[in-house]
Amino acid sequence: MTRTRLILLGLLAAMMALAACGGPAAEEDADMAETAEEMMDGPMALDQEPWVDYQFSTPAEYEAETGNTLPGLQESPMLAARVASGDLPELANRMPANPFVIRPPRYIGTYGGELRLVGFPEAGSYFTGFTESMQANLFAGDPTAGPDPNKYHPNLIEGYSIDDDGSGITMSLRQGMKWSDGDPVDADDWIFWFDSILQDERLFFGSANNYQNQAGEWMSIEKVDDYTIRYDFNGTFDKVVVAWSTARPVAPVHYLGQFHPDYDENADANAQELGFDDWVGGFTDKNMRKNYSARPERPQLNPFILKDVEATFVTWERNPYYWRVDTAGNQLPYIDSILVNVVQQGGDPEVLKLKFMSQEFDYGPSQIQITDLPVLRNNEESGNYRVIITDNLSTSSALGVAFNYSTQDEFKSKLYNDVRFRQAHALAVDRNDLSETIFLGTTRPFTAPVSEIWTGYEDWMGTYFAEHDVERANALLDEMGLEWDANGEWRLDPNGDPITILGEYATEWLGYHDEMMELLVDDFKQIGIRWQPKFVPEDTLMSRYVANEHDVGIWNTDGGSELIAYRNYPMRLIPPWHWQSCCAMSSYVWRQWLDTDGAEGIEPPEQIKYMYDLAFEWLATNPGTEEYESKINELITINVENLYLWGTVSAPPSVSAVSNRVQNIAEDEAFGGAAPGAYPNDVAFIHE
Amino acid sequence: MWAYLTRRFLYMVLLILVTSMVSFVIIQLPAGDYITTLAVRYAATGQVVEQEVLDALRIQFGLDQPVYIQYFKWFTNVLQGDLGWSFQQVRPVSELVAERIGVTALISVCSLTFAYVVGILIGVVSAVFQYSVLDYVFTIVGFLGLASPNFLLALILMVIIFNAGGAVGGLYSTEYLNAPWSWAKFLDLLKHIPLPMIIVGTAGTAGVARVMRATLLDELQKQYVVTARSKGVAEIRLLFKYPIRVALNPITSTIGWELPAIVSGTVITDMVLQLPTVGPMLFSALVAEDMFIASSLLLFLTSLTVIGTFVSDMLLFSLDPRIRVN
Amino acid sequence: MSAFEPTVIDTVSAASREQESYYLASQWQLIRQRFRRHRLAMVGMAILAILYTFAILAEFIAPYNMGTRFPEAIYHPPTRIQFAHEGRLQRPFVYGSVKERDSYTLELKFTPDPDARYPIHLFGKGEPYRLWNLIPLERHLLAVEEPGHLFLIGSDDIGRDLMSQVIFGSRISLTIGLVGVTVSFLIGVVLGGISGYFGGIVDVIIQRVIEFLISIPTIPLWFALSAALPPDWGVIKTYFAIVCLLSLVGWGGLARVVRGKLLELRELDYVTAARIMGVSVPTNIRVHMLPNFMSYLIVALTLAVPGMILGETALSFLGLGIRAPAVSWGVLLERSGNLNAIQLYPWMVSPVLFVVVTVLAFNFLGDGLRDAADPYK
Repeated sequence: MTRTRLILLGLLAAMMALAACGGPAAEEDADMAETAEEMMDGPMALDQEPWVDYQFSTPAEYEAETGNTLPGLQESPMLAARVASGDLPELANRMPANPFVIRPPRYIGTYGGELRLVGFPEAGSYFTGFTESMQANLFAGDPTAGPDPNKYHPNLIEGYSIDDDGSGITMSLRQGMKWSDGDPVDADDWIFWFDSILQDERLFFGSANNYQNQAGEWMSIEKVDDYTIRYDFNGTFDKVVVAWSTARPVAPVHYLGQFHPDYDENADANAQELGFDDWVGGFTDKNMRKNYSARPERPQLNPFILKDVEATFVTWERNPYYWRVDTAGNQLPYIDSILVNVVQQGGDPEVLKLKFMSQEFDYGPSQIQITDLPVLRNNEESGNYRVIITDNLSTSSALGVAFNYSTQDEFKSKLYNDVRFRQAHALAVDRNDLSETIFLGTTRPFTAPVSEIWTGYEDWMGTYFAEHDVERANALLDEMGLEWDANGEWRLDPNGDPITILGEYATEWLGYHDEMMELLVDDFKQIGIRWQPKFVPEDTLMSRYVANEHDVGIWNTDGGSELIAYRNYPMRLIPPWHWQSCCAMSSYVWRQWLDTDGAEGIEPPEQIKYMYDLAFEWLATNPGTEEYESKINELITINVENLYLWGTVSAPPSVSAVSNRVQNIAEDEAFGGAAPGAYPNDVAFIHE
Repeated sequence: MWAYLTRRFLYMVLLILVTSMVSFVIIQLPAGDYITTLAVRYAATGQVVEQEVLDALRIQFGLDQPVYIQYFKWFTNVLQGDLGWSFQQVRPVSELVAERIGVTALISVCSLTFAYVVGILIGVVSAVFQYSVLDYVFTIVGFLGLASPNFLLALILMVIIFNAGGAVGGLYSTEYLNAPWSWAKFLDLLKHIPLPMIIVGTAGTAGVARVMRATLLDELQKQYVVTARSKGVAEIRLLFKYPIRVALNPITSTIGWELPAIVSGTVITDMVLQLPTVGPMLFSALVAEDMFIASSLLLFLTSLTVIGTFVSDMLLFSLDPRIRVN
Repeated sequence: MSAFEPTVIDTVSAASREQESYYLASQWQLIRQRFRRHRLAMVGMAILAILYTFAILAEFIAPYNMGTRFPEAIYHPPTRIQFAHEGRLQRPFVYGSVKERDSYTLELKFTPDPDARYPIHLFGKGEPYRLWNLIPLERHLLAVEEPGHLFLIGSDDIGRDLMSQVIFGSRISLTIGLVGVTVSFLIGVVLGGISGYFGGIVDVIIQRVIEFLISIPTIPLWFALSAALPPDWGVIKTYFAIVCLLSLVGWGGLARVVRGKLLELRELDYVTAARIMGVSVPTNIRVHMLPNFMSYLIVALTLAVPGMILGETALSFLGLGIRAPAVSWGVLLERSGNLNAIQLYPWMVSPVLFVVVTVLAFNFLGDGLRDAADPYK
């Protein structure tokens, strides 16, 4: 918590403090409270802050932990009308006997309204910052949960117990929980996913690591009764809760079964009738690989279900069978429908910001970033929205640099693999200038590849070689024997040409890389190294990185939260210092060598092999143990001391903007610094 | 004559075939494929990227096969009326194009009309009052649209409209997106159309004005005009009776060349204004290497260009006896 | 050209003096006379002359060197040149400014500081530079005393003087059109010439290739070609490649024009006569046909230049064109194409005025030339 607060320094901290104690935000709260009093049926303010311990897997748990009783169930007037017309069963028959209880962050919301968003299509999902995070996960974690299993609450299930010897996990399902078409969710749906999708090579498409034991053998599932299942780990699997927290290991067998030959002998014919080649085509179309909610006809467990897909818009409607309630017994979500204005990704984001500021959208477009702050803040009042600034906890640096240590150029290989070369570069960067010029003064020098909330991070790491000291940098390069040319302008390579480093980078996602590169090139000029910045499209860049043809990997060091590292892969701490083939920043050939047992790629030096070993050992430890801490600390230390992937300035805070008509969303420290999108959005509601 | 027509027609088909092949290859020239793009985008939004997912998707989309096989498969399907599948939107290309083509044509027709009406007006005024202040003012105004970069002009105008409290971007306000047709929705559409119409239109105005001015100046010097004037025919009547009508000829006969422009001429403006036309979709598909949607649109565009030229040639052929003789 | 004998003209009448000079004038004199009547074209030519002079002498004209940054002056508004202080006239000067970051919007705000006055010198000493990378000099057309800033049209997002950027950017933007047109001119004239003069199967093949190139939409072509550029090419090479990209689209049209004109000329009596008299093909094209449509070509070329200048800005917008650290007008416009710049720092948009004026000037020049070169008026 204290570290979280540390992230915002200087101006930003002052600004936030102002907001917390009587600034504009507080005034707005007062307004809200007033209107709430005026309207008797309006939102009811809750006074329990900060917002911790707000999730309860069952009403019984809620009552036991808080001493309150859960009132009777309520539903949206929209659904009540459908019940009255006989369209829909009674609420009690639509909800599980034990729904999940969530205490909303600020208000007991009011039902109704339409949320208006903007998004662009990508592999069947619509990047809106809102609809992505609404998928129903196996466990519900606090935004700050990290790898601590105690902070995860059973979500899709009522409860679980891990065998004493750690050889399996037994889960009790929610009796009476329904798919969005009204069909019950039972053990068969879970077994269907585990046996017939996960283990079918033609259908599954994710990493199987978390479902296999160390030897690569599958775990297994068995049905205890209709509402109880048990997974056998085929060994032990201590981190099951963390590893499976975002899993959605259940699928509607009553619907998808028609496209699977194990369940329907006419599977091929059924798929062909819809125009697919075979059952695999039909199945994958209805059960999208990355996104389960892209087809309206496929039953869901999400708060909102897709209704209409058109050229310019997509609509979602509330799931009448949703299985979560607030502490007043209201079936969630509060909002009745979502309208997504679908735009093309190639379009200009500026017009979307304008449309948002004209109150056409309730959430600002996802392309908003720190550099937009002045214009957003200037129009805040007329646009009736609020700008939300949150720490960017998963990104350590706004721009990280990793030389290509496995380059085939002999001279450059010598340069890059000399730590003094990296130290000199790190020292040459004027980080204050970067922050003031590009990030409105919101960032601070930071070189470590992980942010300060990581276990194993020590205070010296962030500022290691982060000072601006051109003299020392030049001394280091002199020590390496890199001679200057006659004019004292550039340092020379053995051929007598200036040492030239081609800095290839992409800017598709972050608008500030152009400017950053310009400033950095000026900085490196001071130490006589000629950088040639070169913009290349993102996919071309990736191909160059993977092909080991580049001089240096340049990328913002995002996605590096400790949770993701522990759950999936510590991508910022071992070569290629990013996901494997995608976005490999440097030395992908080493990783290739490891993955193919030496068949492809290049054998890494001993130091790197040691890092790989260390990383995999860490993945097998349990959070909270001494071993866990020492291993990750050692891995980070090696990275920092070698400046393998060194940063420039800390990640700028995430900026988003939300219309004042939307309430109950993550917006300040009460939400643990989570961005508005990364938050259970079934409790958001519209307050006109 | 029929031999000539047949030859031209056969040649047209061949040209379409070759361009479709070349553009299919061109789209894949940049390194990487859609899956690479997708992976980068997932990574950039902080999502988990799994190698296994990427590999599986590559196989599902058929991107693991050589280009010529992909082309052959796609083209056989096209002949059967199936344009393929958009990776980004996971929907059939034909649906996506169909949804957008109407809007595209609507905006293009509006802006073409604007360009022609204003262009002809400016052309006439500046020809009749050649070298007068009026000529200079009209000419400068007519050329302003041509001279300013469309994307910036669009953005600046939008900010001005936004500051004045007007509706910006897209074709409808969000509230009317999924509303059934109504008078209010129509009014909303009317509020959004002028901006693209003017921005795209003004870029074409200058060209029309220039041709109009030149041909009208030629006509005005001809004997019949001089004769009519000397006989005391009123100047306005004189102007509209023949010279303007004659001067309109070259403009109307080249209108067929605008056929492809109706679809693709406005890509940049449409991108800035976020209009639901095919232009931005084509661009987005090219960036992401969303193969089938890009190659289908290109096939469509090249066909329009080739057919447009064919039609214009046929028009000229039947209109101008000199060509027919040769 | 043989002398023309105006035997039927009464040379005594004063009224026909003008006519006499008209009939006695050479073709070029005629063109010049007619051109002078087109006032917009004259203005256009004058503006272009100034702009190109600026581009040639950029190091001297620009107040600062290319890429010089003032980290303390990000998004600095234009500095007004003052002529009077406290009611008294004095040598031109600028006020210094006080910087403050707004605590809520985080934008930088500059207020003039009346206590800090920095005189401006004509031909004053400023940053040292090398004119055309050769002659070491340190005097600029306008220079302000340190530590004052002379931002005639403000400073940009990383604290560079926008005016200097525009002037240096004009080197690329004003030449890209000329170079591009030359490239497409060469291809167009050679292929169009061959096609038009020989006709037959050569003509058919060349025409089909042109038609093919014209039918491929330009955007994917640009995409593919800019992706195909070798990644280690430097700024200059990339610049040239982009020029070629632009002209690749243009040459087909030009070749068609040349061909059409040649087809027409080929049938004229004097060309036929020359052919029969045994004049070789290249000579015939060069001596007898080219001059005849030279004027036409010049006009076509003049009118093609502004298209290229605009094309460069469009390519930059699409992210396919020239990129920083090279400076071109397209790069500057791309930087200004966002809400921050337009709403809060409107001077960032001012480079567009240079583009508009240049394009207008070229168009009017072309129109004037066409009017002038048309022998039938």
